[in-house]
Amino acid sequence: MTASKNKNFKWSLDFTKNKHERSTDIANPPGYTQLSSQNGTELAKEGDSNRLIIKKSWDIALGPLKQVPMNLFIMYMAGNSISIFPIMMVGMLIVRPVTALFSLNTTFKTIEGTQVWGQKFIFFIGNIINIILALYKCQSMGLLPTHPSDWLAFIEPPIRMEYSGGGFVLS
Amino acid sequence: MTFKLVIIVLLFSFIFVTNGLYEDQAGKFDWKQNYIGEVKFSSIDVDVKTKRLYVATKKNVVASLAIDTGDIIWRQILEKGSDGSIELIHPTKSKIITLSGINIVKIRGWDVNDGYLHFEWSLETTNVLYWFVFNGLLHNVYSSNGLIVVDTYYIETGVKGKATYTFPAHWFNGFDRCALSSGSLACFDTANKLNIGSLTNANTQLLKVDTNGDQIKAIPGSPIPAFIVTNKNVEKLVYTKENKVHIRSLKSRASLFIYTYMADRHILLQISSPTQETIITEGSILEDATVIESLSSKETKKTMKISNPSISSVFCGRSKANTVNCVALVTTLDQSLMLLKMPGTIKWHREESLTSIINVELIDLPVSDIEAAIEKEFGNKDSFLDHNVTTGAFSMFVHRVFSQFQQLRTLIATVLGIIETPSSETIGTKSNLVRDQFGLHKIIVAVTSAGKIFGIDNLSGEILWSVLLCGIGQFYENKVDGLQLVPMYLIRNSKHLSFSPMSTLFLKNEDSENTVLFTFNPINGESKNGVQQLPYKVVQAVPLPVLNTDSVRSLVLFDSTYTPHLYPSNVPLSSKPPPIYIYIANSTNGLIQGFTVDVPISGEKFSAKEVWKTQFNKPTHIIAIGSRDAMEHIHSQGRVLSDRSVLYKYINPNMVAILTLAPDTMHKSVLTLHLLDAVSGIIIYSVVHKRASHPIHLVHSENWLLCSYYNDKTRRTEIASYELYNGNQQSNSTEFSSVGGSLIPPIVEKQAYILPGFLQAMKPTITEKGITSKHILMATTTGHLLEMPWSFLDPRRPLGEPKEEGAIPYIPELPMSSESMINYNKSLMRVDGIYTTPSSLESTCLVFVYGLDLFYTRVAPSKTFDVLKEDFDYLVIIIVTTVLLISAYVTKNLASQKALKQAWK
Repeated sequence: MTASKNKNFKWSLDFTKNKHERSTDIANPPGYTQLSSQNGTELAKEGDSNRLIIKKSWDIALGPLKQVPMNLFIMYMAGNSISIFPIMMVGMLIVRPVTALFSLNTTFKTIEGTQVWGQKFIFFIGNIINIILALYKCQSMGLLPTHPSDWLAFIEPPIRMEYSGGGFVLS
Repeated sequence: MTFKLVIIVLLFSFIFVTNGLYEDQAGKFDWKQNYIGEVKFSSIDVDVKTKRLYVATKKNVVASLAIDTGDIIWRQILEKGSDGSIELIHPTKSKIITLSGINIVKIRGWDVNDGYLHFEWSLETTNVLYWFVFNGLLHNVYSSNGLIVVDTYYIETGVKGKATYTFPAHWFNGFDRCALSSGSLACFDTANKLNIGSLTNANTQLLKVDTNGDQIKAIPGSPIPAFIVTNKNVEKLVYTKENKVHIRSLKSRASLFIYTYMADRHILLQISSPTQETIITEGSILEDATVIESLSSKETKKTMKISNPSISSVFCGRSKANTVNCVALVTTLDQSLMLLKMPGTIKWHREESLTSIINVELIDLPVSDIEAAIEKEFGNKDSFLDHNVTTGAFSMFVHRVFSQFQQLRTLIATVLGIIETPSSETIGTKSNLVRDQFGLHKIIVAVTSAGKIFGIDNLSGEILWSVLLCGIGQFYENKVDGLQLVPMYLIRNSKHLSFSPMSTLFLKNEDSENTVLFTFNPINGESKNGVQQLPYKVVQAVPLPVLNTDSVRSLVLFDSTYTPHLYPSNVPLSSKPPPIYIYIANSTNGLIQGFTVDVPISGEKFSAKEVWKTQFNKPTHIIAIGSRDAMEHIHSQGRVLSDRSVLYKYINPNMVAILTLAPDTMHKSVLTLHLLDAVSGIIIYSVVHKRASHPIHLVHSENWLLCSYYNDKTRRTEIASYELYNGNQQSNSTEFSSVGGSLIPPIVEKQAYILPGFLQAMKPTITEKGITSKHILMATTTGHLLEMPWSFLDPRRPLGEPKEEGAIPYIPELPMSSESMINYNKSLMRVDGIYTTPSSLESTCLVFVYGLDLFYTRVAPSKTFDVLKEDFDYLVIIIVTTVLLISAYVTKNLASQKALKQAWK
């Protein structure tokens, strides 16, 4: 109780503390028990909160999959032209699932449960689907080096096996 | 409205070719030198005020030069070839009258002040022997029906004069035995006796001269009939005065000139040059042989070389000290023109042989001493075979300290202003003849048909050195067009630090026809033991792909029996060269032979084996061979199509294009282009152009060819464009061999374009790595130098829907926009050729155009992407960055202060 008092009046100095220690110790009102308000409900909902955690973590796991229709819509809206906004959008589409995959363990750190492996797997699959979608977008925008023309600049000129020369007879 | 739209579309269609020059850039990267050619006739203006002289040259040019400086005041260019060859000039008070042409003779009067044409009349004559002007009447001497007829015309109007004289035909017996001077004809008769007869009045008698001779020459521009008669190498001066013949013997071989000094007194001027450094002049009174002291001198000139001077025209006057002073216009064997002030010195001289350049090369300058020291220290042994890299730790340390000390010294000197940075005045000096950072400074080595080699600074156009090939040999002859030809090879370039660069010229011995090699240093023109006589006649020379141990690019020489020799002989090669295939085309009999040569590493004892031959039968004859530039690199191996697949280029380094022309009964003449593989002898492709005739130009570069010809049917210049592709697959991407493997014929794309003009020369640009796109430089007869992007000449320009991105739809006419004329208002007349060479900047290509004028510039086909623009604002960028840096620090401090204040609230 003193602690709570101290907390309330952080900067006040209670010089009366030692003298009136007893007088400050006021008894609880009748019918008030400290634990009754908390523990009663907590205990009652022990199984319920577990279910909530699982539900919450399934929400997290299914998040990427839920984004898929939204992403598809964004892709459709972005179009196939190469300009700054479509490029930014496609960049976001790729970067987000990749970062999500890298932070997979931290996302599921707080969540514990029997279904954690399944959730992780679903989360992973969802992100992979997002990446595939983004890559498909890149492909349809022509950003992926899948054609031989994309590697043309790296082709070395063939080595010459024979040397030749000549011209008109000098006369 | 529609008109506006059309205008806008037209304007926008030119956006990507707008490659023009800003006004302040004119003359910044380019220079042009005007020339007139070898002087044939000249006349010095008697009027002292104007101070001019008038010349007519062998390049069919009439021009006026300033006496004081030798600058061209005006220049008029007549028809090309024999149609415009000037036979006579006649100065009058206000006009210069020229007579030009052979069968149809044109007489033109040019204004002396500005060169405007005052009048022109023409005359059709045949069998003309001589022309001369006497008493303001033009005399036409011709032979007709066994008689010599002289017709007279009023020179300004062309009205035929009353007088027509006839003389018996035996007066004239051949141009080599006769000479005409001042209206009098002098001929040797059958007994080698000299007869002189005047052709200016009807009843003259032949004057018999009691002198024998075997050669006769008229003294040019003589006011009285005067001849030089040579008899067994003894020269005599024969002149007539008042119908009397006078003979004066001459002491030495000299060029003579007779000048009317007073009414009955003539000055005889003689000029000679026994050695190349001295010039001897001698003046005397013709009639009594008294020597005029003021005109006799002997001068030694160290700076210039004079060979066989001859006086073209003279003007004399009396000075205040009562001595005779003369100015003489002197021409020399090497076609230079100079004004000699007697007594005194050479006032100016012009190198007119530069109008007849037959071979030219731009050569890299060597690196500076400091850079050479760095190269020596850090250069790896592979690229610099020729110097000893020190290996000891101490010596390397000393070397390092020394080179860094040198760098420091130059730095300090530059800062203190002791060493000037290269400016226009010091550019030609030897210390500045070093390679610059971007490889833009080179030396132009030009060989002229007068037998003179010039070294020209490419940035300023200044002549740095010249060498006269006097008595070394004569030039080869090009059998196709009959012009002179001189093969020149840079056998050692400037990259080898401890060796000087070397160039070799191939000449013919005047007597034996055997080959003479002239080797010189192209940077300073020096040659030590440069002349080498070979015991055979070289018919073809091919450089090897490897160097020898002296860092010289050896040449394989074929003699007339097709036996190969190595030059320089007795020096082993640095590595074993791959097999060399050499083809030799004979334009006289239409035979093309291919040989293979396997040169051993020792460079000794090897032979050639004939591997193939192709015969073009008469009347087909080979007119041109187009091979790719040996320096050329191709960066991109294919072309990207609209579906993003690749069309691979067919790049055969052994492929040559052979153009043949044959007369045809149906189509007048048929031009055939053969693409031949020089290794295997296979004809890869052939195409025929009917009714095609000269002028024909051929360009072969990368995987494409351009062939321009005159189409007789449609009467216009057409450019046929060909491009070769392998298809969607590359048969062998690592190595190219002309023999073995699958010989799939290439896909040939072809298209023809119309050029609204006539071409004089055509050449593609070339860059170091071949990344920059190609432009074609075309010199037209109107004097323009057109820079045409190759994409306009691309045979894949689509007819309908565009197949590729950025492809321009096919329009047969090529655009000739004024922005793409890189010589802006400096017209280039009579262009003989264009030379292009890469600089060290990938974007930039150096261009040298030669002909009657010399023009040098540099072009950047894909814009200067690797250098900042010269008007780049360094100051602004420095200010902006410093301001940004300072403001970043200031705001950082301010922000932290604010955060602190906020925390205390």
